Amino acid sequence: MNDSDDKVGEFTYAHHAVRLPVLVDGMDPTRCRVAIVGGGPVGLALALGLAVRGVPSVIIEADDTVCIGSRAACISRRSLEIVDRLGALPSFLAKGLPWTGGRSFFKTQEVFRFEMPHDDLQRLPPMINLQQYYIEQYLVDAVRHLNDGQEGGLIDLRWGSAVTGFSCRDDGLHLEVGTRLGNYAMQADWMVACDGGQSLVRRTLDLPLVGTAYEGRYVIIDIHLPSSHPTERRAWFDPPWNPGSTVLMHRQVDDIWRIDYQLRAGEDTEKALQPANVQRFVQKHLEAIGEGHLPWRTVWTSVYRAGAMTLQRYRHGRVLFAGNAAHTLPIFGVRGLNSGFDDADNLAWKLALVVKGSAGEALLDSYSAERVDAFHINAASAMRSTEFMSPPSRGFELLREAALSLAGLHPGIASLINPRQTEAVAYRNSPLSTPDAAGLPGAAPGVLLADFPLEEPGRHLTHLLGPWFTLLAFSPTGRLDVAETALAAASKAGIDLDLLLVCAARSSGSYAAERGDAAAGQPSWRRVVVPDPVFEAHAQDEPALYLLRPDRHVAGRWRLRRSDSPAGFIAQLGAALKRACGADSAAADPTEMPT
Amino acid sequence: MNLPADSRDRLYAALAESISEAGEARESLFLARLALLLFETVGDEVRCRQAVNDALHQLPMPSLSAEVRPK
Repeated sequence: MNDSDDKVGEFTYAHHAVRLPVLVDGMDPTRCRVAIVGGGPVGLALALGLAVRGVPSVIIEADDTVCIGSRAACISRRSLEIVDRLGALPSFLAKGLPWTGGRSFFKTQEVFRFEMPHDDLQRLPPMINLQQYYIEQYLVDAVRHLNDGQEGGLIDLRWGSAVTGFSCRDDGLHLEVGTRLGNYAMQADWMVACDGGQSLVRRTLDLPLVGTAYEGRYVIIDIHLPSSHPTERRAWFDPPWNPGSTVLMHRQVDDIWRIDYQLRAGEDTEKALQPANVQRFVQKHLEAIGEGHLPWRTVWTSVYRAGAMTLQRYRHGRVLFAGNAAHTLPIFGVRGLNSGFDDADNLAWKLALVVKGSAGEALLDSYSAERVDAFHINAASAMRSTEFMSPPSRGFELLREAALSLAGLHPGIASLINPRQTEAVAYRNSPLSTPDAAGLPGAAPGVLLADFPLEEPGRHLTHLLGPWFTLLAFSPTGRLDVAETALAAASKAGIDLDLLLVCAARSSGSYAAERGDAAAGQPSWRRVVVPDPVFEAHAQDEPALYLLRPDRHVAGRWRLRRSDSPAGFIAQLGAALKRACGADSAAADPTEMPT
Repeated sequence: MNLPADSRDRLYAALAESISEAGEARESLFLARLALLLFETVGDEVRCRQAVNDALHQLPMPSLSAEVRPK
């Protein structure tokens, strides 16, 4: 921070008071359900995800401010959907800069243009740029907002408090916490390590990260620059003003721009970061892109080395790992924090069910299995990007130049340059999914059900989903009997389940009631009308049901035939719900109805 | 797909001329570009991968083509 100690751009750092809990013999007498080590974006998102499901947590954060320095800067649509359920979306959208694509140059020629999937039917942009200190601040604001409405507050955010050691016992954790006001001990049923790449929890348990580290180094320079260039990703390969290197440029909020450039082999890291060298590099770059006349100043600099490394398991007894404490991914494609938000989203509902006693601990093993799988999918894409951005060997160097030099005239080859921005990952091998024989057109088990618009202007599916499971019942006739069957099934399974009866616009006139009454102990339902193409993307001529997990991944789907018995479906849905809550069920029956 | 013998002869000569025209400094880059273009033309991962494997199989150290002769 060069502006002043407490301000960068328009952002002012608040220093939060360090507090000690009331202690008895040096011990916090209140045993907490969940201790979250680290109050970065992943820890905050997890605490909020637990709180919206009624589960309290304590966050132990070493610093007394949100993060300092150049960190995450791009938030994907999927992450925004997660942030929405945590109550922080409006501030993210009000401040963040939405963008949809970018351009790549070879020397000075534009050779590739990419667009992320986006159309007018989407509720959210595919990506926004927002610095991590804003991300954390808006999540802290959401914590404060949420606590105000609750007596005592569900989230106890302890600033300036560092976990200095811990021990694992069969029934929970014993933590040592250090603050400048003194040290104390506390106990927790569960501990989640969200303490970043240098995770103390991971090192204390001596758990190795496995994977690939790359040699290529990137210098990251954040500058203040009053440029009016639109928000897009620009990449220059082998630009004449920095031959042999790759330079990236991203707009961030408050007129801050991020410039990343690759150090050549043998180039000295410390030398590259010397202010005079940064000054020379940036000025030369700005002149080359026609912005050399603008006044600018350096905000932050750092060096980055790409790696794709993970723990082999994210659950170790009563200790769970999320975000960079669990894995690290190359920056190219922005999967770092975005995969951390996915971790928090996957873990929050599962841990909430376990803490409430509604599910067994096996559900937490599915968190590990699904997110380790997701790491490998993310790492494969990120490493293809990295191999292009920072070729690890002669072969990659040669083919990259071949591809770049052909890209201008050959669109197929140009797609090799695509930075492969992060996309939602499917849990195709999830133990929580009920095997599928439905042959329905919509999302398969394990896949994230894509958000869709409703007939009501400006409204989407994601406006309607609650914190627990949802059953989407697509009814071609708009009739209620589907809903009644499903309601009976949910009620019998004894699991919180919201029901949405989905009708196509063409058939919605034949239907009267708008909303069912939630009788005592009975799940409630409501009817929504969707455009015909949305309906057809999920169901055909027969009623179709999709069971959505709290993170919107599909747990199972069924086609209801006229000849099917309601009792048969009730049994299947009950089994699927139990399975989705981690019950160790054998492979469920195929999803065709018994006749 | 069998290439007619006379076509093969003509392509052989054309590629040889092109390698010479590219010159030693650009030889590798030229051949890499050619490979990428042929992948697109063939449009079949298995056949392309087989060709890549065949090219590497028993790849000798160059003796006949080790040095670039003066023109």
